Amino acid sequence: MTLQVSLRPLGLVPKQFYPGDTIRATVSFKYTVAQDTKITLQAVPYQYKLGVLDRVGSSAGQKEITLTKAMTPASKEVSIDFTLTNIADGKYGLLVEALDTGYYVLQDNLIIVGTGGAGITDVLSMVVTIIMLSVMIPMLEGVEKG
Amino acid sequence: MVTKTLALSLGSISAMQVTGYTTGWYRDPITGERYYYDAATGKWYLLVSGLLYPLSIDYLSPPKQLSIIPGDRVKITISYKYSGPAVTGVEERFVIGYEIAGILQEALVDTNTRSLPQSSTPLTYTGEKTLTIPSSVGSNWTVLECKVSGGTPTVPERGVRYRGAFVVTGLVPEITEFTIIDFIKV
Repeated sequence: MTLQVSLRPLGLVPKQFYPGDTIRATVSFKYTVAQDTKITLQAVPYQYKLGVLDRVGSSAGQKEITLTKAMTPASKEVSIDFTLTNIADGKYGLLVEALDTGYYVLQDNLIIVGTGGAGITDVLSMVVTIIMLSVMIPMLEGVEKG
Repeated sequence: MVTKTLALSLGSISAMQVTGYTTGWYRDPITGERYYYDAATGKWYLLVSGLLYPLSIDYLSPPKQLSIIPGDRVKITISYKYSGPAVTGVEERFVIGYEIAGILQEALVDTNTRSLPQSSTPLTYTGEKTLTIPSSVGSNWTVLECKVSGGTPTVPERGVRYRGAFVVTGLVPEITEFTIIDFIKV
Protein backbone atom coordinates (compact mmCIF):
# COMPACT_ATOMS: atom_id res chain seq x y z
CA MET A 1 0.00 0.00 0.00
CA THR A 2 1.30 3.42 -0.92
CA LEU A 3 0.44 6.46 1.10
CA GLN A 4 -0.03 9.43 -1.20
CA VAL A 5 0.51 12.85 0.28
CA SER A 6 0.06 16.05 -1.68
CA LEU A 7 1.47 19.27 -0.34
CA ARG A 8 0.54 22.81 -1.28
CA PRO A 9 2.08 26.04 -0.10
CA LEU A 10 0.30 27.77 2.78
CA GLY A 11 0.60 31.10 1.04
CA LEU A 12 2.88 33.43 -0.83
CA VAL A 13 6.04 34.83 0.69
CA PRO A 14 6.06 38.61 1.36
CA LYS A 15 8.17 40.73 -0.96
CA GLN A 16 9.59 44.22 -0.67
CA PHE A 17 8.57 47.04 -3.00
CA TYR A 18 8.90 50.81 -3.12
CA PRO A 19 6.43 53.60 -3.91
CA GLY A 20 6.23 53.94 -7.70
CA ASP A 21 6.79 50.23 -8.31
CA THR A 22 4.34 48.45 -10.56
CA ILE A 23 3.30 45.03 -9.34
CA ARG A 24 1.76 42.32 -11.50
CA ALA A 25 -0.57 40.06 -9.52
CA THR A 26 -1.56 36.82 -11.17
CA VAL A 27 -4.65 34.93 -10.07
CA SER A 28 -6.28 31.72 -11.15
CA PHE A 29 -9.83 30.50 -10.66
CA LYS A 30 -12.50 28.25 -12.05
CA TYR A 31 -15.87 29.55 -13.17
CA THR A 32 -19.21 28.65 -14.68
CA VAL A 33 -21.54 31.05 -16.47
CA ALA A 34 -24.44 30.57 -18.87
CA GLN A 35 -23.36 33.21 -21.39
CA ASP A 36 -20.32 35.29 -22.29
CA THR A 37 -19.94 37.76 -19.43
CA LYS A 38 -17.56 40.65 -18.81
CA ILE A 39 -16.21 41.13 -15.30
CA THR A 40 -13.62 43.49 -13.85
CA LEU A 41 -10.84 42.23 -11.63
CA GLN A 42 -9.21 44.67 -9.22
CA ALA A 43 -5.92 44.21 -7.41
CA VAL A 44 -5.29 46.53 -4.49
CA PRO A 45 -3.08 46.67 -1.41
CA TYR A 46 -4.84 46.95 1.94
CA GLN A 47 -4.34 47.28 5.65
CA TYR A 48 -6.65 46.76 8.59
CA LYS A 49 -7.66 49.93 10.41
CA LEU A 50 -9.58 49.40 13.62
CA GLY A 51 -10.20 45.88 12.38
CA VAL A 52 -11.74 47.02 9.09
CA LEU A 53 -10.15 46.19 5.73
CA ASP A 54 -9.03 49.50 4.23
CA ARG A 55 -8.07 49.47 0.54
CA VAL A 56 -5.34 51.83 -0.70
CA GLY A 57 -7.51 53.02 -3.55
CA SER A 58 -4.79 55.21 -5.08
CA SER A 59 -2.74 52.06 -5.74
CA ALA A 60 -5.52 49.91 -7.21
CA GLY A 61 -5.30 48.39 -10.68
CA GLN A 62 -8.17 46.99 -12.72
CA LYS A 63 -8.55 44.70 -15.71
CA GLU A 64 -11.74 43.85 -17.60
CA ILE A 65 -11.96 40.30 -18.89
CA THR A 66 -14.57 38.22 -20.70
CA LEU A 67 -15.62 34.90 -19.26
CA THR A 68 -16.78 32.79 -22.17
CA LYS A 69 -19.83 30.61 -21.68
CA ALA A 70 -18.96 27.52 -19.64
CA MET A 71 -21.52 25.16 -18.15
CA THR A 72 -18.82 23.05 -16.52
CA PRO A 73 -16.00 24.66 -14.48
CA ALA A 74 -13.46 26.32 -16.77
CA SER A 75 -10.03 27.46 -15.62
CA LYS A 76 -8.83 31.02 -16.07
CA GLU A 77 -5.57 32.77 -15.26
CA VAL A 78 -5.37 36.55 -15.25
CA SER A 79 -2.66 39.11 -14.47
CA ILE A 80 -3.52 42.55 -13.14
CA ASP A 81 -0.99 45.38 -12.88
CA PHE A 82 -1.14 48.04 -10.20
CA THR A 83 1.27 50.82 -9.23
CA LEU A 84 2.07 51.74 -5.65
CA THR A 85 0.94 55.36 -5.55
CA ASN A 86 0.45 57.65 -2.55
CA ILE A 87 1.28 54.80 -0.22
CA ALA A 88 3.24 55.04 3.02
CA ASP A 89 5.90 52.62 4.19
CA GLY A 90 4.35 49.63 5.87
CA LYS A 91 3.09 46.12 5.45
CA TYR A 92 0.07 45.64 3.22
CA GLY A 93 -2.09 42.73 2.23
CA LEU A 94 -2.95 41.98 -1.38
CA LEU A 95 -6.62 41.81 -2.33
CA VAL A 96 -7.82 40.68 -5.75
CA GLU A 97 -11.56 40.95 -6.22
CA ALA A 98 -14.02 40.36 -9.04
CA LEU A 99 -16.00 43.59 -8.78
CA ASP A 100 -19.78 43.38 -8.36
CA THR A 101 -19.71 39.62 -7.92
CA GLY A 102 -18.74 39.19 -4.27
CA TYR A 103 -15.79 36.94 -5.13
CA TYR A 104 -12.31 37.82 -3.83
CA VAL A 105 -9.03 36.39 -2.64
CA LEU A 106 -6.59 38.06 -0.26
CA GLN A 107 -3.48 37.49 1.83
CA ASP A 108 -2.36 39.71 4.70
CA ASN A 109 1.08 41.35 4.97
CA LEU A 110 2.23 40.30 1.53
CA ILE A 111 3.53 43.62 0.27
CA ILE A 112 6.26 45.35 2.25
CA VAL A 113 6.54 48.95 1.11
CA GLY A 114 9.86 50.64 1.77
CA THR A 115 11.17 49.67 5.17
CA GLY A 116 7.85 48.14 6.00
CA GLY A 117 7.24 50.85 8.56
CA ALA A 118 9.91 49.07 10.60
CA GLY A 119 9.38 49.43 14.14
CA ILE A 120 7.96 52.81 14.88
CA THR A 121 4.28 52.01 14.53
CA ASP A 122 4.77 48.43 15.75
CA VAL A 123 6.74 49.52 18.80
CA LEU A 124 4.26 52.30 19.53
CA SER A 125 1.32 49.91 19.41
CA MET A 126 3.17 47.46 21.66
CA VAL A 127 4.00 50.22 24.16
CA VAL A 128 0.39 51.41 24.19
CA THR A 129 -0.83 47.84 24.73
CA ILE A 130 1.57 47.27 27.62
CA ILE A 131 0.55 50.57 29.24
CA MET A 132 -3.12 49.70 28.85
CA LEU A 133 -2.61 46.28 30.40
CA SER A 134 -0.51 47.62 33.25
CA VAL A 135 -3.31 50.04 34.09
CA MET A 136 -6.20 47.65 33.66
CA ILE A 137 -4.87 44.57 35.46
CA PRO A 138 -4.53 46.28 38.89
CA MET A 139 -7.98 47.80 38.38
CA LEU A 140 -9.50 44.38 37.68
CA GLU A 141 -7.70 42.88 40.68
CA GLY A 142 -9.12 45.66 42.83
CA VAL A 143 -12.62 44.91 41.62
CA GLU A 144 -12.24 41.21 42.45
CA LYS A 145 -10.90 41.94 45.98
CA GLY A 146 -13.57 44.52 46.64
CA MET B 1 -29.29 23.33 -25.74
CA VAL B 2 -31.69 21.63 -23.34
CA THR B 3 -35.44 21.21 -23.70
CA LYS B 4 -37.40 21.25 -20.44
CA THR B 5 -41.06 20.36 -20.29
CA LEU B 6 -44.13 21.50 -18.39
CA ALA B 7 -47.55 19.84 -18.74
CA LEU B 8 -50.55 21.79 -17.44
CA SER B 9 -54.27 21.13 -17.23
CA LEU B 10 -56.66 24.06 -17.67
CA GLY B 11 -59.82 22.14 -16.75
CA SER B 12 -63.08 22.42 -18.71
CA ILE B 13 -64.13 25.27 -20.94
CA SER B 14 -67.33 26.04 -22.80
CA ALA B 15 -68.50 28.52 -25.40
CA MET B 16 -70.67 31.45 -24.41
CA GLN B 17 -74.34 31.17 -25.24
CA VAL B 18 -75.26 32.86 -28.50
CA THR B 19 -77.82 34.82 -26.52
CA GLY B 20 -74.95 35.88 -24.21
CA TYR B 21 -74.29 39.08 -22.38
CA THR B 22 -74.28 42.48 -23.97
CA THR B 23 -72.08 45.37 -22.94
CA GLY B 24 -73.30 46.83 -19.68
CA TRP B 25 -73.57 46.56 -15.93
CA TYR B 26 -74.61 43.42 -14.10
CA ARG B 27 -75.21 42.65 -10.43
CA ASP B 28 -74.62 39.32 -8.77
CA PRO B 29 -78.00 38.60 -7.09
CA ILE B 30 -76.36 36.66 -4.27
CA THR B 31 -73.32 38.78 -3.34
CA GLY B 32 -74.61 42.13 -4.61
CA GLU B 33 -71.26 42.77 -6.38
CA ARG B 34 -71.45 44.94 -9.49
CA TYR B 35 -69.71 43.84 -12.68
CA TYR B 36 -69.20 45.46 -16.04
CA TYR B 37 -69.11 43.37 -19.21
CA ASP B 38 -67.45 44.53 -22.43
CA ALA B 39 -68.94 42.43 -25.24
CA ALA B 40 -66.37 43.70 -27.76
CA THR B 41 -63.49 42.12 -25.87
CA GLY B 42 -65.44 39.50 -23.93
CA LYS B 43 -63.91 40.73 -20.66
CA TRP B 44 -65.54 41.22 -17.26
CA TYR B 45 -64.60 43.95 -14.83
CA LEU B 46 -65.20 44.27 -11.10
CA LEU B 47 -66.20 47.62 -9.60
CA VAL B 48 -64.20 48.40 -6.44
CA SER B 49 -64.17 51.85 -4.83
CA GLY B 50 -65.27 53.47 -8.07
CA LEU B 51 -62.55 51.79 -10.15
CA LEU B 52 -62.90 48.97 -12.65
CA TYR B 53 -60.55 46.03 -12.22
CA PRO B 54 -60.33 43.33 -14.92
CA LEU B 55 -61.25 39.89 -13.67
CA SER B 56 -57.98 38.15 -14.30
CA ILE B 57 -56.49 34.78 -13.66
CA ASP B 58 -55.31 34.24 -10.10
CA TYR B 59 -51.76 33.19 -9.35
CA LEU B 60 -51.30 29.57 -8.36
CA SER B 61 -48.42 27.58 -6.95
CA PRO B 62 -46.48 25.96 -9.79
CA PRO B 63 -46.67 22.15 -10.09
CA LYS B 64 -42.90 22.19 -10.39
CA GLN B 65 -40.14 24.74 -10.65
CA LEU B 66 -37.85 24.70 -13.66
CA SER B 67 -34.28 25.92 -13.53
CA ILE B 68 -33.57 27.72 -16.80
CA ILE B 69 -30.57 29.37 -18.44
CA PRO B 70 -30.24 31.36 -21.67
CA GLY B 71 -30.56 29.02 -24.63
CA ASP B 72 -32.83 26.54 -22.87
CA ARG B 73 -36.02 25.54 -24.64
CA VAL B 74 -39.14 25.24 -22.51
CA LYS B 75 -41.76 22.93 -23.97
CA ILE B 76 -45.19 23.70 -22.51
CA THR B 77 -48.12 21.38 -23.01
CA ILE B 78 -51.64 22.33 -21.94
CA SER B 79 -54.77 20.23 -21.87
CA TYR B 80 -58.41 21.20 -21.46
CA LYS B 81 -61.85 19.78 -22.06
CA TYR B 82 -64.50 21.32 -24.27
CA SER B 83 -68.11 20.57 -25.03
CA GLY B 84 -70.57 22.77 -26.87
CA PRO B 85 -71.08 24.25 -30.31
CA ALA B 86 -68.35 24.28 -32.91
CA VAL B 87 -65.94 27.17 -32.28
CA THR B 88 -63.42 28.64 -34.70
CA GLY B 89 -60.42 30.85 -33.94
CA VAL B 90 -59.83 29.77 -30.33
CA GLU B 91 -56.49 31.08 -29.13
CA GLU B 92 -54.11 29.08 -26.94
CA ARG B 93 -51.66 31.54 -25.42
CA PHE B 94 -48.31 30.68 -23.78
CA VAL B 95 -46.50 33.42 -21.84
CA ILE B 96 -43.29 33.65 -19.82
CA GLY B 97 -42.94 36.95 -18.03
CA TYR B 98 -42.38 38.94 -14.91
CA GLU B 99 -44.35 41.20 -12.61
CA ILE B 100 -44.20 44.92 -12.08
CA ALA B 101 -46.37 46.11 -9.21
CA GLY B 102 -48.30 42.85 -9.41
CA ILE B 103 -49.09 43.24 -13.12
CA LEU B 104 -47.82 40.58 -15.51
CA GLN B 105 -45.37 41.85 -18.12
CA GLU B 106 -45.25 39.47 -21.07
CA ALA B 107 -41.64 38.80 -22.07
CA LEU B 108 -42.02 35.71 -24.27
CA VAL B 109 -45.32 35.00 -26.02
CA ASP B 110 -46.44 32.38 -28.52
CA THR B 111 -49.92 31.32 -29.60
CA ASN B 112 -51.83 28.58 -31.40
CA THR B 113 -55.14 29.20 -33.13
CA ARG B 114 -57.46 26.27 -33.57
CA SER B 115 -61.07 25.18 -34.08
CA LEU B 116 -63.04 23.03 -31.66
CA PRO B 117 -65.75 20.80 -33.22
CA GLN B 118 -69.26 20.55 -31.85
CA SER B 119 -69.57 18.01 -29.07
CA SER B 120 -72.23 17.15 -26.51
CA THR B 121 -69.70 15.43 -24.23
CA PRO B 122 -66.46 16.97 -22.95
CA LEU B 123 -63.55 16.10 -25.24
CA THR B 124 -59.92 16.60 -24.24
CA TYR B 125 -57.70 18.86 -26.35
CA THR B 126 -54.00 19.51 -25.99
CA GLY B 127 -51.88 22.42 -27.17
CA GLU B 128 -48.13 22.71 -27.21
CA LYS B 129 -45.46 25.37 -27.72
CA THR B 130 -41.71 25.49 -27.23
CA LEU B 131 -40.29 28.81 -26.07
CA THR B 132 -36.55 29.50 -26.30
CA ILE B 133 -35.03 31.46 -23.43
CA PRO B 134 -33.05 34.39 -24.95
CA SER B 135 -29.73 35.74 -23.69
CA SER B 136 -31.58 38.86 -22.56
CA VAL B 137 -33.54 36.85 -19.99
CA GLY B 138 -33.89 38.63 -16.66
CA SER B 139 -33.57 36.97 -13.30
CA ASN B 140 -37.19 38.03 -12.64
CA TRP B 141 -38.66 36.01 -15.52
CA THR B 142 -40.36 33.58 -13.21
CA VAL B 143 -44.03 33.77 -14.21
CA LEU B 144 -45.75 31.33 -16.58
CA GLU B 145 -49.25 31.96 -17.93
CA CYS B 146 -51.20 29.67 -20.24
CA LYS B 147 -54.77 30.39 -21.28
CA VAL B 148 -57.44 29.60 -23.82
CA SER B 149 -59.86 32.28 -25.02
CA GLY B 150 -61.60 33.97 -27.91
CA GLY B 151 -63.05 32.39 -31.04
CA THR B 152 -66.52 32.47 -32.55
CA PRO B 153 -68.68 32.00 -30.60
CA THR B 154 -66.46 33.30 -27.85
CA VAL B 155 -64.87 30.97 -25.35
CA PRO B 156 -64.42 32.79 -22.03
CA GLU B 157 -60.83 33.15 -20.88
CA ARG B 158 -59.66 30.13 -18.95
CA GLY B 159 -56.12 29.48 -17.84
CA VAL B 160 -53.49 29.19 -15.17
CA ARG B 161 -50.82 31.61 -13.98
CA TYR B 162 -47.88 30.42 -11.93
CA ARG B 163 -45.60 32.70 -9.94
CA GLY B 164 -42.17 31.13 -9.34
CA ALA B 165 -42.50 28.63 -12.18
CA PHE B 166 -38.88 29.29 -13.18
CA VAL B 167 -35.54 29.97 -11.53
CA VAL B 168 -33.15 31.75 -13.89
CA THR B 169 -29.58 30.67 -13.24
CA GLY B 170 -26.16 31.23 -14.75
CA LEU B 171 -26.60 34.95 -15.41
CA VAL B 172 -23.76 35.86 -13.05
CA PRO B 173 -20.57 33.84 -12.98
CA GLU B 174 -19.87 31.44 -10.14
CA ILE B 175 -16.20 31.40 -9.19
CA THR B 176 -14.31 28.73 -7.24
CA GLU B 177 -10.68 28.04 -6.34
CA PHE B 178 -9.86 31.77 -6.53
CA THR B 179 -6.10 31.92 -5.77
CA ILE B 180 -3.28 34.45 -5.97
CA ILE B 181 -0.58 32.41 -7.65
CA ASP B 182 2.14 35.07 -7.95
CA PHE B 183 2.98 38.73 -7.64
CA ILE B 184 6.10 40.34 -9.09
CA LYS B 185 7.56 43.75 -9.82
CA VAL B 186 7.36 44.64 -13.51
